[in-house]
Amino acid sequence: MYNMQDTIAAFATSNIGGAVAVLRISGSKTLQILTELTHKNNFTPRQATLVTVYDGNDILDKALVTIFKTPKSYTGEDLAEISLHAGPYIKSRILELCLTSGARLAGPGEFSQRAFLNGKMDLVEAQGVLDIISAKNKAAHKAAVNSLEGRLSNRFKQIRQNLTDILAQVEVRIDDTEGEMKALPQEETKNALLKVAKEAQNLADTFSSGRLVKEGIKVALCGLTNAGKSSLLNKMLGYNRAIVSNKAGTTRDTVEAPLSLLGFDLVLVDTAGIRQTTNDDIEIEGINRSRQAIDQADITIFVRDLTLQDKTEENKLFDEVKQNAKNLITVFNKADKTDYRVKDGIIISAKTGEGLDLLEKEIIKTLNLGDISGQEIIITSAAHYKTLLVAALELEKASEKLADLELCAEHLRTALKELKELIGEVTSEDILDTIFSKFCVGK
Amino acid sequence: MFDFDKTFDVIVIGGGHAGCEAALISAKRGAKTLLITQSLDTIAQMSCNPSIGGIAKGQIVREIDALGGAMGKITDIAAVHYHMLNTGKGEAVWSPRVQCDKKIYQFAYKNFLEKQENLHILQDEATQILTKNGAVDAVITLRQTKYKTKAVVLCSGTFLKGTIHVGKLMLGGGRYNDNAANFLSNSLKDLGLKIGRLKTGTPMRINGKTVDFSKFTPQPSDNPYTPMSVFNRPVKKDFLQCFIGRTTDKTAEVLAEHAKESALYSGNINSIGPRYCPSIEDKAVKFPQNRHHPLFLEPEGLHTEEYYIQGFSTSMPEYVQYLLLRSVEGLENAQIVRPGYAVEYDYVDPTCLYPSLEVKTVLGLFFAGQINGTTGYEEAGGQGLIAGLNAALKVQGIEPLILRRDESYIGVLIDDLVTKGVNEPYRMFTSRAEYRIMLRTDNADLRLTDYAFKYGLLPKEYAKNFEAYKEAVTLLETDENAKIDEESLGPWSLAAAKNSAKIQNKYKGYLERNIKEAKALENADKIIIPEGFDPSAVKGILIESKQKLAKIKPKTLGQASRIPGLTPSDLQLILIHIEKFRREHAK
Repeated sequence: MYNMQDTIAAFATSNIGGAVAVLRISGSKTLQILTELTHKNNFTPRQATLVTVYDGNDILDKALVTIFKTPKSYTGEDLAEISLHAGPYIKSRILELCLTSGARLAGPGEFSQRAFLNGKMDLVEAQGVLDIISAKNKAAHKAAVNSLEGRLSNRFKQIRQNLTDILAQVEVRIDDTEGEMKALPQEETKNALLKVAKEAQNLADTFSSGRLVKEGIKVALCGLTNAGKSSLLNKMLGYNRAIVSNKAGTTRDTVEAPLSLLGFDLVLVDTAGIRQTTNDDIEIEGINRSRQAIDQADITIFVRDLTLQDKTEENKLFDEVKQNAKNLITVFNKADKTDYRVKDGIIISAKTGEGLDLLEKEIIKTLNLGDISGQEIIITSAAHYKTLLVAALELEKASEKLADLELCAEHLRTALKELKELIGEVTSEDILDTIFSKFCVGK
Repeated sequence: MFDFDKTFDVIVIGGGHAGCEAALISAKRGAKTLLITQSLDTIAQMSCNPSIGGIAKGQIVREIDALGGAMGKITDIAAVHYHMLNTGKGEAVWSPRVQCDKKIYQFAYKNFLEKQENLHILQDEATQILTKNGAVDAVITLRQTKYKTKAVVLCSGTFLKGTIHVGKLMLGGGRYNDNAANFLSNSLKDLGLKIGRLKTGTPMRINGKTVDFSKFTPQPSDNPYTPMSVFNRPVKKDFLQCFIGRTTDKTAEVLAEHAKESALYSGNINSIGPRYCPSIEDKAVKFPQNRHHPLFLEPEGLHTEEYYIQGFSTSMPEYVQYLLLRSVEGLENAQIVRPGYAVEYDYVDPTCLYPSLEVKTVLGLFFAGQINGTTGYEEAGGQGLIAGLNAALKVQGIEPLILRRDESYIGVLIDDLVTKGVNEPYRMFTSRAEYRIMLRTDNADLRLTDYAFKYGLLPKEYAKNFEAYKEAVTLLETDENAKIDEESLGPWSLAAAKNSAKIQNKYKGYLERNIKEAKALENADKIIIPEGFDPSAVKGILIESKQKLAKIKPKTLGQASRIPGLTPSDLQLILIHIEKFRREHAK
């Protein structure tokens, strides 16, 4: 349940491309957060001001800030728009700073939701918001189911198990009014708590240090112009909309979003511009740009055209790409237009979506084989990053309160609540189940 | 058929711990109330152990007291042994427990009811609930009298088609030797309600004259003690002792040898019992490595030698019960005066209820206590008070009282019941309360007594005193030596104010965090799901969520958010659609 009283923050611009990124903050703490970021507090509403954005005392970026006071804003609340340089580090860092200052990441469509609820938007406009939330809902559900069953979640399952067991040990002693139980083994419990705290901290560290997180996993799409590369990009982005990005602070309301596969945030890069020139030579400029994109990409998808009669140019480009690509996946497009099939790539149809699931699997497979995912789990979402840090802190506090069972339980419960999205909800019924299965209690 | 010539506002069916609170509060609220019970001599009978309170339950009794209910006051009248539990731990988990004289408890309660204005008590059995246009209309009794009424509170306890088990012996009955109510569940079924079966049990009672108490560790009463009701001051009491003992290896052998003879394992009982009150044979099967289980001997009263053996609940045949007793040091020669037994009974899936405890599909019909799948006198009393009050309020055209999870255990209890349903008899635990640090024994009045004044459940002239009391606590929090005029506090005491102030200070940081979280919940609970708006029909929410919403029919967005499995996006969609609905209907 989103708390409507929270101050929320998210990027209003897409993750892909663009030189400027616009961060939006809305809610009662907006101005306070802005002051913390800019060390300034005298903003004139509706007037863009050039400011310095600070990370503590260090300069993070120069930015343009416009504030809107309630009720005269898009959401009807105090609102700020900060236009920053779209560098990945700057973007992820400023979001972290907002979260530390008391904002929460906006949920999908949440700015528009607030606009609607505050009477700033009519029913027709609201329909678009409903469509987005509803698409994200189904996708998030699917993603949650996948991740619970998937290999990636084993570590989370272990954390869940450990914390549930420790909390049950604490709760059973709170209920043990006649002193039947042995006292909580202090050293052992403390170590167990600190071990999980360390684990949470380690997971959080994968966020701040991981290049992938700051820059996204770059997936370049290559091929001749008429290979159907653009349709494939659109199809994948369209699919992306339907499977939800768990990347923190990505654009929530626009149709573009990076592709999220099993917790990996991808950035699709179109190398458009490679085309056959009139004299059948491949455009030099196109090759150069393509090469640059391929150099930076973690994965390159080369799109071939199944219906192409003369494959000379395509082969030429392919050889060129093959030399530079780190991880190459070949797809053969337009399967809907011909019965012709080959075996040295994935058969797809960007039009019907056929074979896209295979491509998706291949991308994941490639990621795991490649050296870009050294860790078993990489935290790719700023929300999860924050959650893990808070949980680690709460678990440390719990380990210091073993003599006060009810306080120890408070910290443990807060940690569990924080980790809910990662490890699933641990209900009071779960704790009671553990107690009754492990201890002979009761009158 | 005799048509009674008067129409009641509220008829309460059942005179147990739920029914008595319900009848009393309904009448206090000014509703013309009729309490129908099978036997006047078993009003507020403690069918199991002779004690009120315990961990989490003691908090509930304090809450009932703070709301103007009777359980705490009666407990003090009947008390023979006080014990504040968990004093070795933080104050947030202290719980009062009071051993009572069963007979005094019953008679004191009966007298409370008799003296209550607007309340008519009747010995008869309700056999049918009649409705008209989807609303409660009348109650028919075994003696074929028809009582017209505007609301009914059903508190049937273990009596609906109750079956008693002692070994292979099966008897009809809601309690040993008390008739079952065999007709009323059919009437509920006719009203379209889903009936299930639950089970509970009780240990044997023995004659104390045949016990060698020297083999037990005595547990004397707290003295001085804290009364259960804030309206009472400690008085000089005749205290009795409790005794602590253990089962032996021999007990384990008896249990292993005779397990199959228990009604639980012979196939006679299929329904689920409370995990917290397992029978001794259950403990032996589930935890064979634990061989020495604790036993707690509780005196049943001042004028009897009967003792209740907590920890020895069983539905073994009587001869095995003797073997069990003989295996325990000090009980070798104990005489059974009443055998232990199990009882099975009908209950109704509580997700059929609104948080007001009114049945969603039958206007004016309220349920409280074991019929809702709970166990325990205190859980019953808490629900009874809310159901009785809300039945009266309904008749008076006033919105029901729905307690929040952050202000009371009763709120946690009811919200859990109506939002999640039950799989076993539901017992309260402090771990069920996410705001445990806020829901303490010491501050039940600070949390709830304003409601008692709002609804006229406490004498008006106390209101001024209560304001002074609240002020005193606030003052004492900042200055423990603040000058307070104790006279101005009336029934509330300076000592209690000092105690609460001290505890609030101790938990300050934790309380602030709890309050902040609770605020978010409160805001979500303020968003009412409007009449005529069906959240399960909202486009875009998950199919699983739709089914749950259709079943639970939440009253607020907050309640919807507590339905297990609903996603944040589901709730967001519902929220926007509520606003859409509101705008469309504003036109």
